[in-house]
Amino acid sequence: MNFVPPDWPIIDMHTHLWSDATGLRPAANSDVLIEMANRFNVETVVLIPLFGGLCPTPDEIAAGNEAAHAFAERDKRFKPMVTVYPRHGEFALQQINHWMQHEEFCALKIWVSFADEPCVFPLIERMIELDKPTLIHAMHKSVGQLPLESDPTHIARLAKKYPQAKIILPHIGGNFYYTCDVIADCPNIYTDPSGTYCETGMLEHAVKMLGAERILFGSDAPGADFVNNLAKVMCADVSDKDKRNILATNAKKLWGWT
Amino acid sequence: MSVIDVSAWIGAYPFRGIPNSSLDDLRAKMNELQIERAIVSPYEAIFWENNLDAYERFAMQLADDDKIEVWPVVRPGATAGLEKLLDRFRPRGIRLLPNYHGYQLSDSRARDVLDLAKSRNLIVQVFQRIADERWHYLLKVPPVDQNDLDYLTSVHVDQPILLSGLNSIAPFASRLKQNKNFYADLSRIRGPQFAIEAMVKSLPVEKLVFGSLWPVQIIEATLWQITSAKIDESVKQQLLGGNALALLK
Repeated sequence: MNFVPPDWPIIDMHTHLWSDATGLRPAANSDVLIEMANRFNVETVVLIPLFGGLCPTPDEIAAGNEAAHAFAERDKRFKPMVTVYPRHGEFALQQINHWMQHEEFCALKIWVSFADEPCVFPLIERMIELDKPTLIHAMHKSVGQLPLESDPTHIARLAKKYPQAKIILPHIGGNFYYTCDVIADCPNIYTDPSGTYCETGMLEHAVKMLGAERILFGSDAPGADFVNNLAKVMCADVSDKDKRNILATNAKKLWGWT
Repeated sequence: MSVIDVSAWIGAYPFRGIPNSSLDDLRAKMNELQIERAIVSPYEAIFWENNLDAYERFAMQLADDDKIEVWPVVRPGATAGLEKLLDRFRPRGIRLLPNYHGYQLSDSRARDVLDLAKSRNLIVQVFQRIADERWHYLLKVPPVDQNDLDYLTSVHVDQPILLSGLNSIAPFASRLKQNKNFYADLSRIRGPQFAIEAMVKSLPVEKLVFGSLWPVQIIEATLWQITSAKIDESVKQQLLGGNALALLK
């Protein structure tokens, strides 16, 4: 009945630094992530700034990346992704070039956008040059998509166009049966089970269809609860080796962290 | 600690095959997690046209089980034979799923069911959802509207009511405080970080009960949020089973 944290390394590769109502400053409760990392002994936390809601301005994007950098300087366990909005065009590329020079930044996050639009291509090409992953929000939903929201098929098309790119499709794309079918033949797409309710059989299906080595652990905290998401892995009917790989080893390999 | 799961299901979920979801699996899981009692209904009682027959089958099968209690899913307007079943199996409550059965809680036929429940001192458990509507492809079922639930808790104030499958309990904070008969389960609480600790501070803790929505959801996902929370052990006991025991008595 009681929660017993695994005695294994954990890398949470999907957390968020949200803005407050101004869209320009971190939300007041952002330090809850530090408490989370302390309480559950999380070795590394990948931090994704999301300032300004669904359609952020360039100022909000810049403020988010700046705040994520400051957060990571304060606590070295946190590794930010640089967030961009591809329809900002050249500004998006400038943000990548600026922030990826900082050693704390580990990846690119593309916020709600069609992944296979031409405005995304130069961003992916730059990340290939840098040999770092790109996480692109995507979901396949029965309640309709957000404006410009990628379906896993958009991600698959991008991954096939750029087979050397390292792409992360989070949330197992919403509907895990659909998503696993769509990305099964894209070995350069990784996924994480964050952002979903704890559905029985989800992780088992992803392991069966994709192989455990393509699955990473993410919590989507602080919007979601770490333990709630950890249960998806710890309670899955997969081997301990697969669980350990998902919780940390796969992320270490993807990022080259020792 | 005594753990009671108020919102489990059994039977065949029609939209996907769920591994390890048989009655024996539920029993094994209850033993593993020290869950002393589970309230269940068969999925067939939602989806069969003769849904009370589905209830009867499972209620008969589990009649001698002192840990798993079967409640009927009642479809307003299709209640022929219900009272006989209530007399025969004596469930402590009934379940309503207005979103699957196409009615509002303010409809006259729903009122008839609620009046029947009140006359028999039955708990009425209303599910806002039993699964994530975002992946509910083969039959699109939106969650029960907030206004409908507000209506229920504004008019049927003397009726023991348990709301289940709420993504957020905060909109019901005031009603939970006002009404001694009104409870909510924690089955869909997945955030924000340390949600349980925040809820204990902002909601009337004595009105919150543990539920899992098993087998669609993983039981531990909710259970561990409670057991790992930095809250008083006595409050944990309330959330895990104490409050449910008070409701079910």
